[in-house]
Amino acid sequence: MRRLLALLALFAVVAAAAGAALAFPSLRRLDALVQEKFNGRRWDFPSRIYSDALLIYPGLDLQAAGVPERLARLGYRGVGGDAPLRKGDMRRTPDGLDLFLHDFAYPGEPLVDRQMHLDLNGDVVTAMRDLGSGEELYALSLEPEVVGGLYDAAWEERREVKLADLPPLLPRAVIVTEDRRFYDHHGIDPVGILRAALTNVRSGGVVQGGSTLTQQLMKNFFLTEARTWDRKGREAMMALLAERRYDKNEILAAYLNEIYLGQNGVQGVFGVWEASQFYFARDPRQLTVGEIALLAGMIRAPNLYSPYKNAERARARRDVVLGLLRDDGAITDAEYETARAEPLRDTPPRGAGNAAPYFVDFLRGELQAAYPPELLTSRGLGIFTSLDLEIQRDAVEAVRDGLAALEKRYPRLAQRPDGQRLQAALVAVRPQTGGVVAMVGGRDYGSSQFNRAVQARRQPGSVFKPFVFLAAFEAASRGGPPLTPLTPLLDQPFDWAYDGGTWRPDNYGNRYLGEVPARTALEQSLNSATARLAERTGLPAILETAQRAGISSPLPAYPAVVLGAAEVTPFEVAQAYATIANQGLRAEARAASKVVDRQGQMVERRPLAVERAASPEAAFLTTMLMKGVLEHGTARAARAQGFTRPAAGKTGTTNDNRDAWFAGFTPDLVAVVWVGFDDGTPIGLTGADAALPIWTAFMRTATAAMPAADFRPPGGVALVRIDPYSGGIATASCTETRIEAFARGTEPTTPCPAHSSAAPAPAAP
Amino acid sequence: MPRSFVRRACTRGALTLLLLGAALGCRTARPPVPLDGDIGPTYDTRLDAGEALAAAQDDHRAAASTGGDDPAERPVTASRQAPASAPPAPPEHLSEEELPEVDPHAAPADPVVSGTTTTANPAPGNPAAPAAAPPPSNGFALEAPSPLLSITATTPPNVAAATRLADAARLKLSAGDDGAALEQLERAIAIDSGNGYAYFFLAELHLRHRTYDQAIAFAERAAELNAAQPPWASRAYTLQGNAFEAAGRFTDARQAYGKAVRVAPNNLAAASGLARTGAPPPAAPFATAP
Repeated sequence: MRRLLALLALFAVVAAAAGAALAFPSLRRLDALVQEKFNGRRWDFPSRIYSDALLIYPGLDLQAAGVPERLARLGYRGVGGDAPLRKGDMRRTPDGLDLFLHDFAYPGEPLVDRQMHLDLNGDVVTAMRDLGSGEELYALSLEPEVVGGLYDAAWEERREVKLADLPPLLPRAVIVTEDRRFYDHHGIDPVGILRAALTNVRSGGVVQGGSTLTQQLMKNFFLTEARTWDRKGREAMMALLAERRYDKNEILAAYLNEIYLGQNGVQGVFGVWEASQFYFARDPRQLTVGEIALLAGMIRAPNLYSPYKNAERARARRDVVLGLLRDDGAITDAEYETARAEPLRDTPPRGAGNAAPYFVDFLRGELQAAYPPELLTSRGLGIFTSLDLEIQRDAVEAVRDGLAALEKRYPRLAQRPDGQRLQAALVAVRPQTGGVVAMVGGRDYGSSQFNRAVQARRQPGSVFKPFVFLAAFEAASRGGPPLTPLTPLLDQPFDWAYDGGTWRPDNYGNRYLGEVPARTALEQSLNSATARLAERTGLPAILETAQRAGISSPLPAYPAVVLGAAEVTPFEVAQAYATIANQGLRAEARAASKVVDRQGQMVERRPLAVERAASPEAAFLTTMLMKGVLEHGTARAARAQGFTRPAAGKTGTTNDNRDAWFAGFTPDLVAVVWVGFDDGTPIGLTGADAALPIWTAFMRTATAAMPAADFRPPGGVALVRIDPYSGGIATASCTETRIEAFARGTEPTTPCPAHSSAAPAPAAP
Repeated sequence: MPRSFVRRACTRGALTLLLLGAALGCRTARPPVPLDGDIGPTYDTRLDAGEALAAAQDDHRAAASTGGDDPAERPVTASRQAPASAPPAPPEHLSEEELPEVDPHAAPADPVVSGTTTTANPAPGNPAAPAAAPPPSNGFALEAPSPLLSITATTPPNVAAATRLADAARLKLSAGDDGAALEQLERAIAIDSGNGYAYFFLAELHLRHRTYDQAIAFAERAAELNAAQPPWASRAYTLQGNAFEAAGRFTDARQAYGKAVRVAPNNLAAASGLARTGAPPPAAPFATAP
């Protein structure tokens, strides 16, 4: 009887198909479409963006480096007991930490089967070894984190996997749950349709669907969600066509890669690979029986059965599928019981969305010079970047908290209409590599995608002054007017004549200090003294120096530029300051370091590349003056806020207090902060008031895991202990001394005249 | 056995013999590095799998280029070309005062056989030496202690880790695995941005790949960072001299060799570089060597 029913149903379907063939003159077109999808690329794959990989090495403080947070984000699970670890497991031992790392196809260096032991003293790594080979390790690379994707219109994460790469139980569970007769029908299942119809009639509503896996695939491939008879007809027709052309396993593999399995923020989760990562933080091959059952069960209603959203429903659904698998003979009774006893999931939820949206936009812009947009959003490239997600988080927090604190302290700043709130930008760069490690382009990407870090051109004010000193030191080394940190400069009003006109630089608050050492001119940000130095150095040399260092915006040749009158972006300032921090070597600031194709083959490698932009001596001497800005100049508040590392920097405030800047660096990290209103409304605060606190908060956390290194003098610099009042070599009688840096040949040669009868003071280190 | 023979022979040789030896390849030559290296954006590293992708990129670049057909104005992706094809200017002769002094009494270095790549001796003032020729020989490079020996109980951990990575990169370079070496070196610099060894080997890598401007910059950095270790500083200046010389900048090369000799007067490779680039060879430099 059942067989007869099946034959009748099949006849009906074939008759319907024949009718449809007549009714659909576009049948051939549909067939071509099916072939195109199967033979060519089936979907658009967004490029996947990876953060920089964290290096762990003996001596690293795991807590300070944010390693526990990173491991949690990467889906590592803490386990106890003595059972063998699985990939993604970590276990504290009496002397340290065992860690079974996830496999990762790092370009040129596939990272597989890495089981490590870290000896710890507190949180500090003292030694590391590979438990597989017993080899001692000196540096261990954690797999990079996924920052996000470069999407087109559809926000989807995809990775194509082959059937052979999946545990056999996974496709079996999907078939048992969704289309038990998958291997018996030809795209449409009349028996299934009748069964579903009977069930629905009995229950008085739609409780069961009759769509085969092939029909579901066709729907996902080509069709909209609209429930119309026309769509149903096309779906059935295309399912028949697909089954005629492709074998069952091809269709099944396509289905497993295509099926919708939930939502990660605004991104859909498609395919079993992505779902396995999203829900369980592991590769499908590592899934347990219970996890496989849950994934298969979620297909019917992914958000309803999501373990993130409703654990009880998810557990019940999983158990139903486990029952189906046991009844099917796919698992034993013992496996069934074990799987039912499994916890639903054992990793914390993955954060939804993109942690660095402004950075991703910047990266997209950087890559578009070499890659067409449609290629970036459709070919599944892997893009490895310099972003450090831990430092990025520090940057986001510093900007968010810093702006909130300013608005609380100065309520007038908060009394602004929506869309015109106080804004800030922060960009952080590694000076030696140019790698952008963090970027915040505004206080809220959701409300404004304008990336102030790279798109907002604003006057930098005194942040530009270091380039005057850099150029002056360069000129002095080439026989120009001599300059040392002690060279007296006159801080008094004067007129700078140029091109038939004159310009008179004014000091902040119209206070003038008379004759001051060059060091004081920068530390106290004295406009008049700096402008005098600029005048004698020459405008062209200063502009050229700034541009060589990294300022790419046009710098018009008028004197006010030396005090920061030409508009630049925070990103340019970061690039140019990085050149100073890197002793005159310019490493192009960039986000991407490698690009691989979907198969993991290297498409492009962007190695560290540098260019000499200034002499090491001039850059170092400028850095030493900028150190003074933090020690006893306009940015000394940073020290009061607890940032004690060796660092150099410069405040910047523009006319009418429209823009507040602070740009500074340690030997290993440059950060630039800008604060202001988009429409140029004055904020009434200086760089030290508004930008410095954000910079300080950021640098305090971002550099916490780095060794506190000082700037190293190049060979052409002599460090001399001097008496700052006389400028002579310090003697034991000098009450106040300090180490000063000089280009060799310009250092003082005579003892402090005020205390010259005494013995010399201890030499500089 | 051949190594010790080479050492003995070279130690006893006069500078002219050394130069001759260098010209004849009296050293261990690295296997030639395939030009399809993978170290730079200036290298086309796209593999077959990415050909379609590469083609799409090229189309995009062509469309984006404002320079029409002028290749100079197009983004460079595959330009492992040599420096300008015009022959480099002959080196200028410096006066005696400008020449660094070579200590005739200095003990000659144990001429360890190492270096970068082999080449015929580009005779000083030989404008015919094409800029595309292989980088000049390091000659008999100054022996320098292993980077690993610099690690002591008081070495900061990040410095120690970076030094070990740099040394691992040295081995990769020796094995011709430049891609892995580059990876290690960039990691070393990420851990310890002041690691002179890492910069030295980066310079060596770039010299091998004829990206001379990079080799020059990294070598200079290596010399600065290794200022406290004269053999390494001297080697770095020598390497810089090699890069200058290969780029046809003979005056700069002479200055770099001069710095190398000033830092370590027994640096034979630097001395031979000085001689090659125009300085008269110092008289009987090893006559009284102990």
